[in-house]
Amino acid sequence: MEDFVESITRGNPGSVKAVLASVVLALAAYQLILAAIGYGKLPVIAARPAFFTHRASGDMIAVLFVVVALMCLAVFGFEDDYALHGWAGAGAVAVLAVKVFVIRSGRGGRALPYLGVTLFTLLAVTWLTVTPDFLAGED
Amino acid sequence: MQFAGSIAVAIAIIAVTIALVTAKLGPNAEDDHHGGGDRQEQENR
Repeated sequence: MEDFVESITRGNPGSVKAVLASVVLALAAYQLILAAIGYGKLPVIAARPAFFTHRASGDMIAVLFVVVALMCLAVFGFEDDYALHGWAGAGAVAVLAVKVFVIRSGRGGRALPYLGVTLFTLLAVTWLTVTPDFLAGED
Repeated sequence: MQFAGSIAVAIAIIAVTIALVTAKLGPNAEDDHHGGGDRQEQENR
């Protein structure tokens, strides 16, 4: 698996991970805005297109996040120096799984905003605990 | 129209993020965790 990741990233897994993780976080921030529009807290556009894009963007975030998580585990594994990063990422996977389950089951819809904010927070912590240092060349 | 607009904003966010992070990575690419990959190989040629 590590060789495969090294191969498809042409020997730059950290850089590719930084780009993809940043896209995930940026889209996650947009998700919060779209959800606020959808729930009528930010009446910029109608709720239906906001939720449509929220769903489409969310699908993309889920795929990218799983890809980044697998890359990270395959190449770097769990390192003690990055325990918070690892736990926040694992927590984000768990919350994402619960959110998808709630959406698919059609029950517990009132929990979705809380799950969404929790997921965004965990994604932000995961990103903040590695990417800024990496981009600064300190990794 | 609002559907297309909201999707277009998402695409713009992706493009801008990739551009910003890639630009930031440029000078530090050789510091990648596993030795720098292509850029370092090219420098060594």
